[in-house]
Amino acid sequence: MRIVPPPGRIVGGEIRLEDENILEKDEDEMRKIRWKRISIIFQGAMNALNPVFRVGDQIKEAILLHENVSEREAENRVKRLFREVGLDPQRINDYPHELSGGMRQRVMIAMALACSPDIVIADEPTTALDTTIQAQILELLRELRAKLRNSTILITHDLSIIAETCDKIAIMYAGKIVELGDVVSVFTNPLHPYTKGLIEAIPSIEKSRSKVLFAIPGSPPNLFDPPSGCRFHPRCPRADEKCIKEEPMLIEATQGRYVACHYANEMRDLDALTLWNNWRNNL
Amino acid sequence: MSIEEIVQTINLKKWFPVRRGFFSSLFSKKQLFIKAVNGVNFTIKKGEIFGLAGESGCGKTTTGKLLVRLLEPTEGKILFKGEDISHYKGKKLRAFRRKAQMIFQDPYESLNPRLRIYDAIAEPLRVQKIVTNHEEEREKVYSALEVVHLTPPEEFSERYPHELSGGQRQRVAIARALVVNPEFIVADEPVSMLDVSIRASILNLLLEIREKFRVAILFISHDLSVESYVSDRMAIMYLGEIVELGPTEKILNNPIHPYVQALIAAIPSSNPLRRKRRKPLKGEPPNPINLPPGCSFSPRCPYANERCKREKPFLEEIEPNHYVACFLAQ
Repeated sequence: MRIVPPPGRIVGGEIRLEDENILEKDEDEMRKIRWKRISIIFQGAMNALNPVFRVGDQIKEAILLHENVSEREAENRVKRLFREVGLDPQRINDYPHELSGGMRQRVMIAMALACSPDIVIADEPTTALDTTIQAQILELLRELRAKLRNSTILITHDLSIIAETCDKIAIMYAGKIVELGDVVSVFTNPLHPYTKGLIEAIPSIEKSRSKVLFAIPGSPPNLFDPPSGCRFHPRCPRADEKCIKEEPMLIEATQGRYVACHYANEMRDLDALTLWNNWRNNL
Repeated sequence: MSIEEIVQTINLKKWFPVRRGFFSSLFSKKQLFIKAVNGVNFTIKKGEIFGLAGESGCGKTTTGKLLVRLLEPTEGKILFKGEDISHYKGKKLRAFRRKAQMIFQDPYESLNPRLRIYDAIAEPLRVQKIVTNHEEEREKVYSALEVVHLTPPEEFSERYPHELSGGQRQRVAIARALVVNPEFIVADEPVSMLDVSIRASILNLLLEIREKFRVAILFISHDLSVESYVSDRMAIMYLGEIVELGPTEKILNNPIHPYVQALIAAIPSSNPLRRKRRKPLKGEPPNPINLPPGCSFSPRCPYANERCKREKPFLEEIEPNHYVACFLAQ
């Protein structure tokens, strides 16, 4: 989206949208990409909506800014969007405080879909919501994606949400992707030690109670002064001299599976517990 | 109440008056209340982890605060080891707090940023006048730090909260609760603010502490997966009332109340091969000021009939130790 707040700035790399590097675009061109091509659903719907404007007008504003349509057409589209996300079209005249958290999140989704973008970024879309409302919103996102055939990037800390809704997954640690692949193979056979630990660490009502939850030792590093080499090395049982000195690249380990670990080949069929226990025994 | 039970609530209620503007108070005499906790009955046994779950606004935290008497109940009773502590004040209340402690949700807010870890943990000892000299105080603080695995204690005790990570802060909060050697701890969402990779270690620590000190814990969480891992028995609340209570495994594997069934169906599966085709529950919880007559869940319940809309169901034992408040279950 190129909306990193200052003093943050993009210092390198490329973002390619259909063979075009969008980092080379100027602000005017960027404005044409935002919302028409890529849109975003922000985390806290409470803070993302302007409290002194009617919710319908806020969506209309986005449509009028990006598309050459009359006010009338824009209003009709807002009503249609409201129906699509399961809101009563009458409520376009409500103010944000008149809506519940779940309804506000639906407004945010309607707004993100207003100009039928190719990519929707959903940043923790359900974190602030209760479990039953979360299920409603996730189901809605799934339905809409099937209908509108757009791509969705779902950002979340909750691995179960990813297991339940996504096709592909990228796991990040301290600013880098450490593992990338399709959801089923990453969950059933994680290759990066961090992914292994993380998957064992989430409690689940399906996991047997007798099994002790695995806890990754240490805590995430301070990004002012990230560890040298592999950023996970201070918490990793397999880490050796090479990991401290050399940063591992994200390379294809098997078909469609990418891992950033020097020892990815050893990691197959090794569960987190064995990995960390082997390490303790070797001490 | 048998000796096995440490805490019992009897028809516990907490209503908060709704503040109104000057004009509306002129025109209407009726004082409105938010019925945060509306008639709750349960017991917690010695050394047990009792889970309290439900969605936001259902009254979990208010119940927790009532049990350590940070709030005074509007109606009903709280028995602690058979003694009615509902309206304790002053010295008696302080003596009670020595036995009942609380761990709060957000370790970034619950520790005073200007107190060293040593003083933060020593404070309850000083307030309770448990120690007589510095020697003894240091010994108790260090051993509490050791229990929560912040070792070496000499090093950690000299730091300030901002020098610690979220998980370490929560360990300090736990040490602070443990230092007075309580028999009962209320843990209010102790892991919800922590990084996912840290949560498991705090949950394991709580389980360890229960083993070691046989302390009873009321574990409040909105996350049923977390409850399934730590709690022995649990209660699910909806709009200030308990709708189902029983052994955790029984509730999660065989929920009876329609709300609990929906809540469990709404949890995303952690296994991508076992995705649920779910029909999410429609609607949202009603306003706790104007509760519907009859069963509070009836407006959202797919099975509700005329009776549910008229009459209020009470918790009834449908099988040994498993209680449900629903006419259709009985």
